[in-house]
Amino acid sequence: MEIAPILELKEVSVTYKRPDRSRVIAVAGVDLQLYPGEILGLVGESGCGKSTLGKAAVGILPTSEGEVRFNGNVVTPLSRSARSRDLLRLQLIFQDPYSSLNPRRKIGDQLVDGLINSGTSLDEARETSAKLLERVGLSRSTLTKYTHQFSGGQRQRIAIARALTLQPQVIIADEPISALDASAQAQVANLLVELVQEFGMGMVFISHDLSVVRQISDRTAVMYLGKIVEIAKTDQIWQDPKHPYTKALIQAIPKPDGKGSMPRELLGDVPNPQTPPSGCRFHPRCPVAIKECSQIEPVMTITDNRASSCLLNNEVPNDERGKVVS
Amino acid sequence: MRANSNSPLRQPLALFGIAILSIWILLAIFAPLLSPADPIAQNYGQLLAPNSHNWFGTDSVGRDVLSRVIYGARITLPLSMMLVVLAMLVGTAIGAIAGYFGGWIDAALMRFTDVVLAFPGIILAMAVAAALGAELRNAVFAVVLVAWPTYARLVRGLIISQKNADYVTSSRLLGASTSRTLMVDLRPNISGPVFVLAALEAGNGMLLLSGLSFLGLGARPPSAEWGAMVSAGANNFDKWWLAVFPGLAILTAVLAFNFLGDALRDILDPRTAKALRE
Amino acid sequence: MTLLEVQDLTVRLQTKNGFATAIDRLSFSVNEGEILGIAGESGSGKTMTALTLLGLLPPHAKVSGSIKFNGQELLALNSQEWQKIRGSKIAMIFQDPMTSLHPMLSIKVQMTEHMTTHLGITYKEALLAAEELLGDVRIPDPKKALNSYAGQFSGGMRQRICIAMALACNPQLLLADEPSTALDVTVQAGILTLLDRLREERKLSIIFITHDLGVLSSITKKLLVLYAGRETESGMTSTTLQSPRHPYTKGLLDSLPQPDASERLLKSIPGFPPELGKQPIGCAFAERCTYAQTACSDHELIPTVLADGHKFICAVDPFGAISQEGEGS
Repeated sequence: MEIAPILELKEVSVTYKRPDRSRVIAVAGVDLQLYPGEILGLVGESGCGKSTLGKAAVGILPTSEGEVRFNGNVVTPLSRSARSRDLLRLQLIFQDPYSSLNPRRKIGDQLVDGLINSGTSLDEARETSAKLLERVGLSRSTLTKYTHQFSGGQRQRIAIARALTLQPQVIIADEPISALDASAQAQVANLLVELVQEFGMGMVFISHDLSVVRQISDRTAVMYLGKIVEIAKTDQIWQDPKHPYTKALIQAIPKPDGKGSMPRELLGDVPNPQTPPSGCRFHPRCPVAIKECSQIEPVMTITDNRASSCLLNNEVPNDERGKVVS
Repeated sequence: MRANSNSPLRQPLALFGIAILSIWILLAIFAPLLSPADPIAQNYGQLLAPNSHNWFGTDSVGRDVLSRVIYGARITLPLSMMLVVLAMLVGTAIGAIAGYFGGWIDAALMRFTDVVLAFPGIILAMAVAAALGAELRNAVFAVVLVAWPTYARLVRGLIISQKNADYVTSSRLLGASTSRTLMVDLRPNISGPVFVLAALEAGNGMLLLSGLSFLGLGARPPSAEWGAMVSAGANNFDKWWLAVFPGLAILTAVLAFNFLGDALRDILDPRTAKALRE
Repeated sequence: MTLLEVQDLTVRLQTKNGFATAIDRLSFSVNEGEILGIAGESGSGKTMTALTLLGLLPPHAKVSGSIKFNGQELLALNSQEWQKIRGSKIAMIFQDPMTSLHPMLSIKVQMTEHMTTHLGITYKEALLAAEELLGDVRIPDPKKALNSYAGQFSGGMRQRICIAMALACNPQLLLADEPSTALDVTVQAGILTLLDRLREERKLSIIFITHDLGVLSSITKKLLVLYAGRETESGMTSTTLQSPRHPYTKGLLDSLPQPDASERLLKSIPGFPPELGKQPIGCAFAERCTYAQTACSDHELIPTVLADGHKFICAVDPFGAISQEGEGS
């Protein structure tokens, strides 16, 4: 029996409107599934749309096409009405710990928000918040303090505790450690891993730091210019990358082995998302591109429970989504 | 709330402002005890210059000016503060709704605000007060009508700048309704600049109110309202004490509010100063 | 040929609680055409070192020791003499290319102004030189780039422009303070390749400051590890990273994500780097070190120098036995 994904994105596109009224397609047709208890790493470089995808997945941004489903429920974007009860167990951790907490409210008041909104009594909510603070490594006295009294790493833990109050089944972590200094990064990343294991949550870990994603995620998805180009178990991605962009990313990472090998650069710049290249979006920078790459847009080929979208890998097409094809 | 370091230049003025206001408030509260005479008793000789009995002299019907100035605080101060609070509440509500909901609601409310702002304050206040009838209550209403747009503009700007902040979004993800978002999450982040504006505008409001009374559109005799007293003094220009003392009362009170407002603005974060400039 | 020789450099800064030592008796040297890496976290003194080399310390800072650049003692220079060195003989690029370039002036104005001031050439000559420099750093269409503004370029391109500006007066030494940290990994690879090529073509010496050991491993020949303003380990990059002798260096290496890790958790050095303050008598790292003994905090430590110049300052030397087996081969 197959486990159903707890979060599912079907052909999701997200479009921005620029101040000059032009449209930018930040995410162009993404399919993604997240299963309970797994950490899915979402990596890509600036402009690939990973943060936008994360925000659409949780409902902060509306999708222009496709739909997101959480536990079977459609994720409707935030609007004037309060968030639907069905979606309260889908939460997001923001990148910037300095803006994700209200500077003018006591920490304790902010932590009980979710529970109060769900009808829990204030006393019970406070007790739950205190326990969660201790779970993330902070003392109960944090409840009466204000955010400016804490460091970036501590603030991120508070934000995590706040997200945990509603017992989330899915947490989208949008670059949760990028704004922290080195010591705090490892601590917060470890905390997230422990919490996923402890609560059986699913987590999408969005990051540009490939090495951290490599260590903590079970599966990894690689994005380029609004599309997912490869998705597989993390070990497979690193040991046997199939997509040329994935290979370029891996080769660009400098190794701290003292051997003095220079990382490989990837020539060219990321194209303007308003005018993506024809056919395969990566073809202008691809070292192994052939003529067809500029004409045909590759689809995700699923083989052996891993997928990549490169014409050169399309030896065996998929006939049904999700079905393993030999 | 953490205080930023006040620049040394501001501090003495703030203390001065607080001192002056405290004196006036005490005078207003303890007027019956502190005032040398009954403000409406026409006991003394008419238009006497300041002397040992009447330190501020007497007016055209023989009332002690000092007593009237003291009792005047009982009218002007509470009314000014009330007017500020009303303008703040009305302006904040309109600005918050416009800023939070945006779209046509914002456009409609802001056009309305623009229309009110297009009129010079005193002219509009005069028109409203005259239309409603010359009474102190109507004068207060008129000034509130003139004063609320500044708050609306400020609050709208603050709400727009904060409504998409991460901390607001994270509260909404936890199920916060619109009213909760406005009252619990956003309110503490906009109240600082709004209070500063109120303190700075209090002086303005007081001036407008006194101005209306000066023009005969506010307080009626025998009410010892400062603006009305200055008006009476304007008719007897050579009897300088009739206008100067109530005028000084207005001056000191307004200055005190201004100093207080400046100090408040320095204490709260610098964001306030920036917000007020918009 | 030794280009830069730093001896016993000590920098003390005034804080609310008196003087705090930002850099404590630092010594290192850089040869012509060589890249020295300075590894350290925030608060280690790495940026302060760069600022000292440019004479950009706050006026109340107390500096002692010696910095000899081309034989000239930099610490004895007055501000006029510094003007001749700073920007022309010693140049610097910074972490954030967004704020290093003026957003309102065109690139050509920024580059030519720099050159006409320092090199005494005409505007036309500077313009030609600027175009050539932009080509050198592989900016596509340099003519168009000159007429553009900072906001029109990506982070990586801006950093290349900053490098071009730094090279405008043909400096002998380039200080790079976390130049690629804010960039994507593929863009970073491009910047590193560029810097290495420039080093070779122009015999340019570079001091590369970063906390990223991977970057240091690729591009630097020599490495200096700083902690709390003091040197903890130094030597050839290959030896230092392959056979680290100081627990801090080893801790930094271990805290990198491990490719073959069996478990998902990252290792990290417990605790936090110390804030700017008084220097402890013994080892500044002792309070976080798993191998620390009482002797570590009791008295001043003496550096150990190995045969190939590999130097470390640790009283315990917990990896000595293992390393010696490795270094022998």
